[in-house]
Amino acid sequence: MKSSYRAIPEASIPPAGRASSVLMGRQDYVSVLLRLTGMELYKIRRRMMSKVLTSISFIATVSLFGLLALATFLEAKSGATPEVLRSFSDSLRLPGSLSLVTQLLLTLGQILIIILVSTIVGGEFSDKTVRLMLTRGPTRTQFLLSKIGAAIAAVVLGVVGITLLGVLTGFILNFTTGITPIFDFFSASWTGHALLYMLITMLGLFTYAMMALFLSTLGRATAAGLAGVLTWSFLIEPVVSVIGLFGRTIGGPLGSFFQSLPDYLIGSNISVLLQNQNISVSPQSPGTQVSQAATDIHALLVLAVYLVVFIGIALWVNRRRDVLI
Amino acid sequence: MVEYEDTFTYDYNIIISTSRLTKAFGKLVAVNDLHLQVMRGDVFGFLGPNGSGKTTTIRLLLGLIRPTAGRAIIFGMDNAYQLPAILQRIGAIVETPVFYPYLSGKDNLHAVAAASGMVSGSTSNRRVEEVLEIVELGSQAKDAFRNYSLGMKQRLGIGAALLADPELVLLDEPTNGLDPAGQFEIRQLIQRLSTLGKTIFISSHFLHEIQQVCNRVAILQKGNLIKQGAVNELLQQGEQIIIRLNTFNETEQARTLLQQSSERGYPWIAHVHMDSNKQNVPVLRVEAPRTRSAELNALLAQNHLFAAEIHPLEGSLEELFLGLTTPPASISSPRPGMAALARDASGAQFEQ
Repeated sequence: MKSSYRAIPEASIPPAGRASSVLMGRQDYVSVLLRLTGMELYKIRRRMMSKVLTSISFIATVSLFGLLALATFLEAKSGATPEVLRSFSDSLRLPGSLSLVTQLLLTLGQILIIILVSTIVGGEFSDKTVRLMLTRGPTRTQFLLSKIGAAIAAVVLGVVGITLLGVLTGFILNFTTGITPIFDFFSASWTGHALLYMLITMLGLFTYAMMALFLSTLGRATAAGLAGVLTWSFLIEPVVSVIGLFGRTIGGPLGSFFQSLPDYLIGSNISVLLQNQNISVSPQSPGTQVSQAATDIHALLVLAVYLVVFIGIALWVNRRRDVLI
Repeated sequence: MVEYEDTFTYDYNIIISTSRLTKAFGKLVAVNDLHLQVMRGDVFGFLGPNGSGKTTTIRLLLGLIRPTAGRAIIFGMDNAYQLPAILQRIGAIVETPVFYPYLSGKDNLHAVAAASGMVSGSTSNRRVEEVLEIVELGSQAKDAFRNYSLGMKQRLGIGAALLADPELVLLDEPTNGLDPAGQFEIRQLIQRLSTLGKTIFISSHFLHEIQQVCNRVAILQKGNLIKQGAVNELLQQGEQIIIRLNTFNETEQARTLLQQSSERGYPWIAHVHMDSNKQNVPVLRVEAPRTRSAELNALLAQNHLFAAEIHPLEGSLEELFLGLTTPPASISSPRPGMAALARDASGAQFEQ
């Protein structure tokens, strides 16, 4: 006997066909994620802001090396000896130019990547487009992972692009100094260390980018990520470093506690990793020595903890939160 | 229909089914114990005053917010567990359509296509062009979204909802900001989609629009479902027949006759009211099915009362809506019967 009660089916209703002009792609987790990441990069490419940020980084890189070349030229005019001139213009040539461009990436580049990531995450909330994206099929985790994917792509492209631009600009401008570049440092080992040096730079930028992603997600605004990370890296980190120095002065258990605080900052751990690679990348650089503060393992672990915390909390918050905008 | 061991008939035609769906924000219960059923091919109108919980319900269905209690089953899948699979079969607009302001309408649709799981390339391009033509934005396709008028944004929103050719289209106030011609086009589009077998769920304040395009409606007030059913059945309940006789005396006699007849073999005569028409001439409003006009005329004639005018009056969704959602004291409906009917019916939670 059949009941007239109409109940919901236990199994899903088979999907109906779509129009012939609608061609769906693969729907497995990774394919969806890759498609979303591609879409994020497409959006970044179409933003005026990313064009402005790219222009700023290009102009800053060329200007930095241009200023160094100009200073070298003026130094030569003032009658400096060839040795002094060579030392002065060291950063125009490899391996010195690699260190210089890395410094630029970790200061200006850091600010630019923070602006970019804060905008691509916070913008979804301020433009309310999070509502559009989360009603199209991707999960909230995929949505945020695609932002992380786009951040990785932006960091990698940024570091590689600016490094190449800086090194090439330095190489070209070096001709104006009349100093012959010496490539005796160049070896397979050096290339490996130089790549590691660039990877560490990427890791540093990526860690700050993830902090921006975390704070923008938490604050649902571009400003939250931007202000938060800039405050952290340009205010809190220097203050904690000063507290570390203060700890050295006062001594005792409290002093050693204060002294150890800078060992757990993002900036100081990136510096440790860079410094330890710099021994192999720029052996002639003055003051190059193995960091006494911490080992590579310590630095990598600290950065890994930061990344797990930033990404983990952002994913958790994003999954749990109601979208009410 | 699939039969399961003589116990239940599982109905694959139920596209949306909510069970005790509840959402509370602190002490405010936005949606309370909601039982909705939307069938395949329905053009389902979702009505309610501002703040009644319509958009919250749509957000719950789309998984943008989590229910405090209850669940929503869409295409036979629980949206708490199988949301991505459900969303791939839905096209939706929630409140005002939102897109990336720095992208053009066309680029926005490409972004939506990627997020919807469509492959990029020439096929996707063709579909985007097709949709832009459907919503008549072909000539403004390359303009930045930030420069679009509200009507254009609304049309792009509908375009985005239709992009992946979904089985279920959820539209929250789709004609907001559109001029009368635009509203007409959207109504036509909805009717066209309905003929293609799409299930359409529309929330709207435009009751005449809902009455024109929807076959079923649900009315929500303060988060509670107060009415659900087929539009023609609901309107049938409010049908009246207007009778005008030549004199006041005849009108009085006719009223007495019909009131008595209601108890003597004419149960379909629900209520008889004396009223006046626009020319201030007394008329009788008889709450009875419109198909009974001829019988009513014959009954009067048998008693030597001859109608000068007799015509049926169809109930309107607007009157039903106002009757259900407006406090009794503030109802100024010219048709008290409809309001009363609506109030009587407000006790009913779920109608099939």
